[in-house]
Amino acid sequence: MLASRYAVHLTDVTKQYGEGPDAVLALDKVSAGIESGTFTAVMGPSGSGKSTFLHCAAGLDRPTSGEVRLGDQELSALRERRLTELRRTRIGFVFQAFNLLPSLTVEQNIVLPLRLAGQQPDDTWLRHIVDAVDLGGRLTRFPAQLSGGQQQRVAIARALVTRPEVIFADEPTGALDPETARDILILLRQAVTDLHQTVVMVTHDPVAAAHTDQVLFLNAGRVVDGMVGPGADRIAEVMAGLRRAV
Amino acid sequence: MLTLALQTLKARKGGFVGTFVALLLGAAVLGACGVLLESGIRAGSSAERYAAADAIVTGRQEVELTLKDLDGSTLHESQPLPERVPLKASLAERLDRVDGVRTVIEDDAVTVRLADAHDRPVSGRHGSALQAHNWAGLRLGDFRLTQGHAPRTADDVVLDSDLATRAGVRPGDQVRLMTTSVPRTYTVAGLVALKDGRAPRQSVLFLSDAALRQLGPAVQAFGVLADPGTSPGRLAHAIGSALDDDHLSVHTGDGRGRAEFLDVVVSGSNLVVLAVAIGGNVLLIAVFVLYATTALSVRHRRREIALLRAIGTTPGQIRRMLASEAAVTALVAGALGSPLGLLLVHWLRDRFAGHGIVPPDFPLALSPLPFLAAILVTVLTALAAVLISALRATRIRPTEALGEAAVEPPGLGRGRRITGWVLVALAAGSFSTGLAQHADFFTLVSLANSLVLLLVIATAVLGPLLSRAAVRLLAPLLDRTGVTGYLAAANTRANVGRLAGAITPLVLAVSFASTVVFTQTTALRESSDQVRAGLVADHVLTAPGGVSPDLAAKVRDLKQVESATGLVKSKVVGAGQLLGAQEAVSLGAQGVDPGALGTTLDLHARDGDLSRLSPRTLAISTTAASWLGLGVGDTARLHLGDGTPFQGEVIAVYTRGFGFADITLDHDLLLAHTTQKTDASVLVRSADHADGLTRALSGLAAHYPGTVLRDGLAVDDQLAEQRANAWVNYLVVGLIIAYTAITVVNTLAMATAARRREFALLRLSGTARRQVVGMMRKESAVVVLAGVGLGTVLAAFPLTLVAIGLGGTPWPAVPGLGYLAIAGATAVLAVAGTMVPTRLLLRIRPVEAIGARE
Repeated sequence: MLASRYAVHLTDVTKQYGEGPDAVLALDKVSAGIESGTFTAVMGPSGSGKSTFLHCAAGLDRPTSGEVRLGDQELSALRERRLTELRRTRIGFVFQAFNLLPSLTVEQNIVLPLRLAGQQPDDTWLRHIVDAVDLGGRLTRFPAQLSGGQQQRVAIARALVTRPEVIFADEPTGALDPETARDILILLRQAVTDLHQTVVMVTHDPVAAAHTDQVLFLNAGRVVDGMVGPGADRIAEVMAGLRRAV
Repeated sequence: MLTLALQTLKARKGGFVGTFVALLLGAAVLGACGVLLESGIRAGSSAERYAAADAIVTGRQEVELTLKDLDGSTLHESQPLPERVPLKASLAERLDRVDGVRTVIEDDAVTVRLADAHDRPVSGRHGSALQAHNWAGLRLGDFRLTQGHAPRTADDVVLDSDLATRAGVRPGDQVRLMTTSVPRTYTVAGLVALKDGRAPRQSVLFLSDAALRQLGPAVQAFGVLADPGTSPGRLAHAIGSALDDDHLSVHTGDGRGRAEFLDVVVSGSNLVVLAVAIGGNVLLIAVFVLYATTALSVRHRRREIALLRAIGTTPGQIRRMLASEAAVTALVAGALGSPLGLLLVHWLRDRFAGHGIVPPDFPLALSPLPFLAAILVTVLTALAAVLISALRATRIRPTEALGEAAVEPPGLGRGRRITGWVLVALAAGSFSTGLAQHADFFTLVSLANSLVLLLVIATAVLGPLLSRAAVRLLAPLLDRTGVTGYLAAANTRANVGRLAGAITPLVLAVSFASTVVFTQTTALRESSDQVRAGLVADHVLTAPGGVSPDLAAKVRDLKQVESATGLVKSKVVGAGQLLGAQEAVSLGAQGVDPGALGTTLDLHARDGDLSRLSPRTLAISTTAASWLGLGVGDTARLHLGDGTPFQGEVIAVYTRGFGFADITLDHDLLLAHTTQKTDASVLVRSADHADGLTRALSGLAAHYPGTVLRDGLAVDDQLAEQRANAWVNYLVVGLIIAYTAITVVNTLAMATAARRREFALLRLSGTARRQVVGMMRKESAVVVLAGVGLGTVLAAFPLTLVAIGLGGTPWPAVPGLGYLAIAGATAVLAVAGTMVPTRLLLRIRPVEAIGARE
């Protein structure tokens, strides 16, 4: 079998919450492929299913039906334990906030996925990513001593440390001021261009989405549009159209 | 995982304080119980009077009963005997013939009461009873003559020098000794002391062999000196196989001390029972409390655990992390708890001695073993408690890390609702069973205890429903108390789940403590009522060291007296029926003259006829009837206090067993089988024309030093054992309260601390600090009112059962001050647990607090 050109590939993914008349269809037969080495934004109005898309794509949640592949690996075939190990080694995460364990230092937070897997951090690689996210002097600090932007840098470093196949970011700039947000987005861009990573980012901010290679638009659980190399203005137009449609 | 656990412990000390304190207390109490257990098992003092003998032969101080187990198989159970088992003098000849025996020395003894020349009674060291021994027995021990000479005539006595000092006598002075009748005067011939000069554990007197024989002594032991070259072990073995009698015991080494000091051995076995009961109770509560504290800390770390899961921590790793945290906390708590346990065990020993449960000089066996065991048990308890929380923690879904707020699923699941109502139905069932059955007191007490447990668990399960009801009741009142009341009402309405979490530990504390404490006060009230109602004698003669048995006869001869009896007390052992299995039980027994029973004591026969009491029959209390499974006409098979088997027909079942004893026997029969051979008191019923009776009785009493005339039985003396028992129960309650206090404070403090952002928001939107405090004060008032009120209501059910079982009235004895102490202590804890964190949180600047993460 040929190696897939997609880092992540969703085929007919449906996710339903609840049963009977109260059931909510969060994803409705969504199919999408994320190519390796790209920076993708997933956008949509509130309740469009973009968070569910991320959860299913990242193996945090199981779809009701359909198939999710990470590289060659079919995720629904995996038991919880294997799925957890897969998240630890092949996927990186950056969340909007509460990304770090308050009881661990910056360095301990960064290497935590490796330690959970019982591996020793590769010093050269560690120094490389610490330099890349510009945290050199703060490795022994605790998260509470850092600003919001610095905390997100630590989270990105943690996501990079295992050299994952995909990094999923859920509103990584949602809690930051525009200038800090821009720095974080540049950092994610660098991860794709310099470190050849694949990044999938959920956002509602057209400015943030403008840093990406392609944008997927979700509405009411379906992929409604896609753009390659868009500008912030066009993205904002599409988003405005979607909101009106709601 | 261990490093991660250690880091978390270091950073999140606050969340572990509750668990830590609970573990610390647990380790201390378990360590203390372990020491008591070891002391009880190894109870013994080094021999004094028997120290020079190679082996000591005594009667076996326990009786072995053959019992039927639940499955019909038989098993043997030994029960210690409270009275000294006497030996036959003829045994000496058989011992003499055993290989390796050089000399056999008889130890004869009789209990005496000593008075100085002015008839002032002198008690033995530590208040113990005094025994006079034969002079020939001196050679068995370490006593040496230090002054004067050996007793030569029938009037000579030798005292140990410590006793002589306390009596204020020297060789040549006169003392008076009393056994079965009026005292006889003796001359102090000499003094003895232990070789090493320390005061003997038990005061001792020696009489010449001829003088002692006149007092009717019993053979207490045979001391054996070995041939040169025969080791004590071989000697004991030779004696054992030559005698081949399991009613006898051969003691060597430290065992000689146990043969000499019966009180230490008897209280040692009581201590074992107590230590196991207290330790067991504490262990049970500890698991409950630890489960609560660990569950709470897991709930507060939901988001952190979800994050760990999201970035690839397996459920197994989460479990290992939580287990490591628990184990490390338990190890530290256990290590720090050990010195606390050491202090506690000394305090407990003193209290036990104060209540007569152990002798005042009872030695503690201190070794590291109980503390190491306590640390181990503490760690295991912590791990057991964390196991359940960990299962819940691993069910936390990784996606929860991504959400904005860490919300818990609201409402009451169907399963939980069903469980709750099943528990309520079970509780109702056991309550009506208790009401319908004519069960004995102890069965009812255990039923009451399980009832309150069922009710508390039901409360915990149905907590949100109950707190919603409480809110519906209390919130309208709050609404009327201004804006802070309005806020408090809104908060409690909106957070019924949080309120339920706060109320449950209060309900537990109040209902549990009330049930245990007021069961005891109700029992004590009933007992003292019975003593007052059952004593129909109008005069009582009594003495601290016991009354000479011939005094009753002399009183009976007075013309102003209708009847009189000596009242002698001891214990009997029998096979009890407990839940279908047999178990050895020890019951209090009293001996009364059958001719005077009806006129001096009214035991209130439920069935049968008390006047048929004779040396071949017995009467039993309702409790004993239910325990032994006997009724009127049945044959009771018991062992008297010195192990003698007794078989007799039950002629009556009486209800006043709490105030008096559970078994009533013929006076002379029971007296003959006690060590002391004295009456506790003499009960006197005056004749119709009783002029000058008081003077006549006082006149008689004057001939018996120490004997005093009273117009009733001292309730305190009569119920000393029950009081000691009640005290142990209070101790257990105290520990339960201490544990619940941890949960109360922990739950409330953590719930309050989690509201820092809410407080900040209130203050930023214009609420004064004072108003936030006012709001929280009113919220905690709701918690206290609901918790204490519900706890009181729940306790009413088991207490009603107990009260009905005891006296037929549904009203338990609830001393106002006692209730106030329980309710007040709980309320203070609850208020402090809320208000202290509130005030601390209000010191943080609201702008900082609102921006704070978590």
